[in-house]
Amino acid sequence: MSPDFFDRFSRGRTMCHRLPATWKLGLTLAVIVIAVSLPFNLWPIHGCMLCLVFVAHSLARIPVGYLVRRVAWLLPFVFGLAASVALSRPPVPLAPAGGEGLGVRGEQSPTVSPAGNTSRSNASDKSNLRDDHASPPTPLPHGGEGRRWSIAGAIIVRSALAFLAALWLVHVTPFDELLATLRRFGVPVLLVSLMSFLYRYSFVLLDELDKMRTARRARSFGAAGWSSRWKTNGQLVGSLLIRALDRGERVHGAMCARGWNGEARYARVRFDQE
Amino acid sequence: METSSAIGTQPPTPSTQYSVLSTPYSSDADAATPTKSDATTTLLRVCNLSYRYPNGQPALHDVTFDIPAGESVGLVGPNGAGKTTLLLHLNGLLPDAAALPSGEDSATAGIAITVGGLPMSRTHLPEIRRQVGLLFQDPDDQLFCPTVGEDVAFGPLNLGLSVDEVKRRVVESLNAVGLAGYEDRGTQRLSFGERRRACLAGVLACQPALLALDEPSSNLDPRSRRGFIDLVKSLPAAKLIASHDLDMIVELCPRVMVLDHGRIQADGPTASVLANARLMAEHGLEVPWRLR
Amino acid sequence: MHIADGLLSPTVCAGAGLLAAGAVGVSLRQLQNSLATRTVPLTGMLAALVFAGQMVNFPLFGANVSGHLLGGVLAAVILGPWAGCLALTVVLIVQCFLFADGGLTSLGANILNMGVVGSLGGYAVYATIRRRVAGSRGVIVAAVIASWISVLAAAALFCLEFALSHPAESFDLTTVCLLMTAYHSVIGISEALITGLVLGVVLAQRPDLIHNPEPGRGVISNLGRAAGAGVIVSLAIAIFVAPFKSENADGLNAVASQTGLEQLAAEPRVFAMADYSLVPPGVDPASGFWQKASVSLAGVVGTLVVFAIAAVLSKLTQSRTSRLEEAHVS
Repeated sequence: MSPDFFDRFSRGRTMCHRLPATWKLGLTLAVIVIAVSLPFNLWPIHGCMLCLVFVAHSLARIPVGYLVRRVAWLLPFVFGLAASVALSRPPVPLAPAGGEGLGVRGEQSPTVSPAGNTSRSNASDKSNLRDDHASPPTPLPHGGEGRRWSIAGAIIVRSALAFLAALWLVHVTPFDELLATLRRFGVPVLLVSLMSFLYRYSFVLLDELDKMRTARRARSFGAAGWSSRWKTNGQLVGSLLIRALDRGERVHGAMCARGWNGEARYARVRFDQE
Repeated sequence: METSSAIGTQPPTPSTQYSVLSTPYSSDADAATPTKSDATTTLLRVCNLSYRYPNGQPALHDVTFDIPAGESVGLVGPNGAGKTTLLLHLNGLLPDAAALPSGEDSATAGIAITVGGLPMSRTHLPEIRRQVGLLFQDPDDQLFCPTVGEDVAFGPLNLGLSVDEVKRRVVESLNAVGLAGYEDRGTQRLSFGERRRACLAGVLACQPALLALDEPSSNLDPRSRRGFIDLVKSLPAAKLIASHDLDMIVELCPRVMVLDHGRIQADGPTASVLANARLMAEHGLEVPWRLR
Repeated sequence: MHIADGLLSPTVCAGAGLLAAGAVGVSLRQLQNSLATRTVPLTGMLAALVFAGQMVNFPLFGANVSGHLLGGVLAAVILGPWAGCLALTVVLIVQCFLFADGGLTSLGANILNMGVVGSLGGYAVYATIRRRVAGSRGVIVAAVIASWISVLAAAALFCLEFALSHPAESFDLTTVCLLMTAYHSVIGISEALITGLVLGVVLAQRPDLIHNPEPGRGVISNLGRAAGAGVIVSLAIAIFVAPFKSENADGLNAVASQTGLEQLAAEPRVFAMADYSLVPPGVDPASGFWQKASVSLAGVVGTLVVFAIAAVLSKLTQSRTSRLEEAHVS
């Protein structure tokens, strides 16, 4: 696993990288909180913020193609939700007459979660229930199906904006600095130590995973069936788990060998100010 | 040697301290010759050490040896002989802490391991761990911090030293192993050889009196191996080097012990022990090229 | 499954964050109080394992679509509930800060859904079932069922959070519920299967690695565990029953207005009411019932599938472990 897998751009030298990590975290949080708190009808502000975020990305020299690809991973889940918002009919208020009071025009749209997971390729099942018994509700002032579509669009824009802001933070701050900043913000020391461990050993485990996969590929002689792939992948993860825990024991030994007494400590000693 | 009951209350006393920047060995000979070490300062004493694994399998039988201060001793033997198990005992990682005597009373006669005059017990464990620096076979087991500087600083910070002293030791140790300026480098970005050096720097930062090295030259390419051997040669601390690399043992250690089936089968000058073809064959080894 | 920024309202995010912080705080305290110092590096390593394991593809429909391990119940089974919860929390935080996977403001909700409900809640279900079924069979059966239930409970919790985020008479929440149910049912089955497979491997080679649930330090802790399990199971069932309870969405709205939550929502009346006359002609009015019924039916079928998975995997594991024991003895 390339050591740049996570930190591809975070060790650059642009002015964004040189800003103190605390400012960067604060700025990003501010942008995200503003983005999610603003009402939908203030979409010009969202548009401006999106432009600003793109400017920040270009200042940090992060390629646009990469950004587009990352956003493309995020969006399907958000699209699914937004689509369900846009295509749903509003609920009928609690009606005195009996029966189903709800108009449903649901669509089970294909969704993929941000980690690139499952999707359902159902044919959309547009069915509609019309309740003849309930009295028609009084329409509210902001009406129109176009309005729901614009809300759905606004959901997508907001999520993309917040995502890009967070991505900027991730790519202009090395992870260990981010951890130190979190510690300064009061995150418990044990949590920060665990995050530090995770970061350190994910490379090691991903490398081992790669090696096991390669070894497996070298011994498989054709396209494997669905169940065989599940079984071997399950074995991969199981073996990796056993190895990881054994390694955890050895790391514990190494920590004790250098005087660790069990107390979680995270002390960042800076060396660049000599 | 003084005993100290708590780590961090005082820095190591001058009698146990050595400086990383002291003059290296001036030995030019290809094979190390046995030197007359100061027999009165016994740094490590192991007396009738026996150990069984948790599943009952015997690991070590009545292991007995001494290592004087400053001496380099090799430890060779086939796979499964118990070399790593022995090294883990020296640092107090085995047996489990609960099995160690508390050391409060003076009944230390039954304790098998003594380091710098301190019997291995729960009371003395922190100081013993400082005095015996253990280098593991897999550097990824030992480099557990995201940056090199943090990792090397781990030991000194546990000793309770001031931040300035910690920084000084980190810089000194990294210079000594040839990784000057690597403080902010991410550990995953290092090559294998660099990782092993960084581990050694982390161990040296605690200024141990005895370095216990487990297969230090394994998986290194020839250039890295040569660099590492030269580096180890330059360190003045006592060393116990467990390895399959018999040529390295010949170069670095005037004395060698052969461990097989958990027992010390031979203990003597390297040139004669390792040149004994029958002994080597009996214990799954062979005479190194240098001595043929 | 990671909730992005902008889907939940700031209030809900803050509330979920508080709950999550409380649960994580308790887990931290439990970990610090545990006598074994090895728990800290082991938890960190388990977190790294979950992180790495989440990147392994388990093919679903064709080459492009795959399922992944979530790891909540797996982590809890291996190292216990508190370490499992912390491992998942750390994974989620790192994914948020490394990949921007899951929003910064919705981090609290993500931790609540996947770390607390997924891991702690899943463990409660697992421990409750494991007391009934002994041995390695028990581990597999309990873990598989607990994985399924915890995923559904997390989905139900998300629907609740989403509903509370947009309490004003907005769009139709039932659609969102249906979508979430469908999506998470598939995730739940794949999670159950993956957890079962992985635990099968661990049980066959290193059964000592499985954490032993403390055998009830008292009636209170057992009751607490069972109560926790009950809450999780109820959440999981709710998501299948919800489509039928058409007034459920309105019920949530009613709850929201009664408790004054909607005053806190940042955009009141932003989601507009549409024109109700947009009914396509010629649509069978009864088909809505079958649509909802199909979701609940999917729930029943899904549960049966999961039970079948649990039975098959536990049988396989048992035969494998007994074969290994015979080989060891002979």
